Amino acid sequence: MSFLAPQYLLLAAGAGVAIVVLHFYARHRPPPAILPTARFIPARFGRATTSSRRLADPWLLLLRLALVGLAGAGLARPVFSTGTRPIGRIVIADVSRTSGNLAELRDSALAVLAEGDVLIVVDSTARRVAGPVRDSVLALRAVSARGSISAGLIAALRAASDLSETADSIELVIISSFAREVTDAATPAIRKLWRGRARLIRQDVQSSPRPVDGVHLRASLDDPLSVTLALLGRQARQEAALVRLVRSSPTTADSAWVSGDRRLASELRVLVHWPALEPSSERTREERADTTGAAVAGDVVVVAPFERSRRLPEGPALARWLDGEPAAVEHALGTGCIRDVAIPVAAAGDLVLRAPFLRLVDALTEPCGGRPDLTPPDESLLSTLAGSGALLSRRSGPTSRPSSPLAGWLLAGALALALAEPAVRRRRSGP
Amino acid sequence: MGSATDYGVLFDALRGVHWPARRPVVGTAAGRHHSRLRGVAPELSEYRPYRQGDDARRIDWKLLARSDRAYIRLADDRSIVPTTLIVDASASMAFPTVTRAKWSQASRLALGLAAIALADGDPVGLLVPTRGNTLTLEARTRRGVLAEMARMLSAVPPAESTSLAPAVRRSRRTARLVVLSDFLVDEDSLLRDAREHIAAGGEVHAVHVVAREELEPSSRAVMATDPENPLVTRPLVDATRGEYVSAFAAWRDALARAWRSAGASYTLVEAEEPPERAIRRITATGAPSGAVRV
Repeated sequence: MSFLAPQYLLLAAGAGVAIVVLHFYARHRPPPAILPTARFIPARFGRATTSSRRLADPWLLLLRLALVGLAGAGLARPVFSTGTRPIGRIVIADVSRTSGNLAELRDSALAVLAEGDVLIVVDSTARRVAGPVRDSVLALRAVSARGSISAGLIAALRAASDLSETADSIELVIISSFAREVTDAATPAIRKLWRGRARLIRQDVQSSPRPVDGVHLRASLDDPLSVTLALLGRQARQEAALVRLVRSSPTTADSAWVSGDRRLASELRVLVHWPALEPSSERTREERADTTGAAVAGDVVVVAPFERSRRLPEGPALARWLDGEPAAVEHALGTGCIRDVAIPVAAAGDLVLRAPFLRLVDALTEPCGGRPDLTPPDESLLSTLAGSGALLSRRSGPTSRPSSPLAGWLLAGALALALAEPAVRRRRSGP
Repeated sequence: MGSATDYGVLFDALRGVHWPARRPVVGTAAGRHHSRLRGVAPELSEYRPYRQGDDARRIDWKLLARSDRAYIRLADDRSIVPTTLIVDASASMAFPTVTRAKWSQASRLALGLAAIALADGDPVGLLVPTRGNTLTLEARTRRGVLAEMARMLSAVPPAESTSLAPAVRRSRRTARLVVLSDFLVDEDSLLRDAREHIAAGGEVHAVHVVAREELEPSSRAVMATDPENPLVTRPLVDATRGEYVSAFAAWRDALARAWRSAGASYTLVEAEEPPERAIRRITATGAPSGAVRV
């Protein structure tokens, strides 16, 4: 058995010693005696304190010592150890698009993880993997999404409270490329919440950015976007392209094509749903078309009298109208992603020939999550992530306090004795 | 001690001790004490001319021969001093509770004084007030009065709180009154009645019996209770002991002054004091005040 707050035991011991000493100097009434001249004794003293070499009221002393002992033990919060391990581990495995070699990542994870440890997988989100860790590691797949070490750290902080019940110390292991895009400005601050050192296992970053793929356009022969793609030099055959741009509704085959299992980030697919412009419905003279003067994607701005006719579903916006409404959104689907684009492309005019529009199309046909920033992190950030000092101790865990079911009973016992003490004291001191 | 023989040592120690009256007494019977009347006592005090009707045997013939004038001789008369002893039998006299030394001392003093008075030819009586009644032994000179006193005193347990003032009022006709008490009960009434007795020509002796434990209480802390008033319960501890001793001494001094200013004699007797010594002090209080010319 151990105590979560052992300092209260010391306080209880000190109080017990003081109680024992005071019982040698108990304040009580002296023994009665007859004295015919008692009326000459001053009447202002009601009681008298006497000291004695003998312990006064041993039963009352035992009651008080028991009260102080129970209170001290209760406040110290005893817990019974159920066979805790010396060290437990929480492994953050970054399988986002910056990870170069998934096999190497799996090997690194399997070398560190043991049964009872916690595996947190970071891709577009950070999630704790349930089930046997070995099987979980083997099931890891690369994703095209952008990862976040900050999300992984937060998930690790939550997992630490559970692991602290079975391990005395917790080691944080982060397996990642630590490319710039997996960290953000909040990463150092979140890392500080973990009061222990961490082990960093650096993975190779993708050796080179994924080459700009060709785009397979499924549209009519006179589709204006074909001109744009030709000008960009990105036209490609269907079987070779990793980006499919469809100008009509996507089919189930399209969905299967984009969401298929891929082992490498460089194989992840993108489906761009960019419906062709529909003829405007007849309007009355009082109705006006909803137009906006520009579409923005990153630092690309295309100025044109765009007529908005579609509302897009919720999702991360890749492009926005001038008023901030999303003009193009992206959704993850399996290992790939689907982009919905609501920017109308007029068949007439020179919009599709302009350089800004070319850059807009280039941005909308980028890999899922945009182009990865594979810049290596600076050493100061790595040093911050690694930290120093001892491993995280379960007593200094960052999350919720461990519980001590016995503490409540001990404090209840102390309260019962505290309620009984005055009655016992009065009875023993007499009328 | 229950019989006169138990006090034999005390009586032997008091042999030859006399207890003169503090003032001339008005008595009808002849005794050892100076009387207020002139009589035919053998001691010459003065001459006066013979008057018609005087006893011719009192004519001083030698003076007649020398002076040719007839004078008769005068001398102070002697009288008895009926003495009544009032012994306090209240609960406070049974202190200390184990030895009851105060009661024992008061009993010894009473019997010793009675023995001296009887030896002087004075009738002696005893009054012991109790709650129910007052035990009374009328003043007498009969043999056996000491034994009766001893039996009476041994049969009384000092246990109740009773005022002595009624007993003093009953003894107005007694020439000499001795009050043996600790004066812790109704002392004001007692003094008032004693003052009246003195004003009427009587003699009063106040014998104040105290125990050593009352004068110098032990250093042990106790909750002291007055046996005659259990509501009075106070702690006698280090912090209060000094004040108690001072207050008790001041009260004794005031009591002594009050009794003496009333015309009585006041004697403080400790319960542990040899009774014969105390009795000698009591009987030595005041000398005869001289004859009063008629």
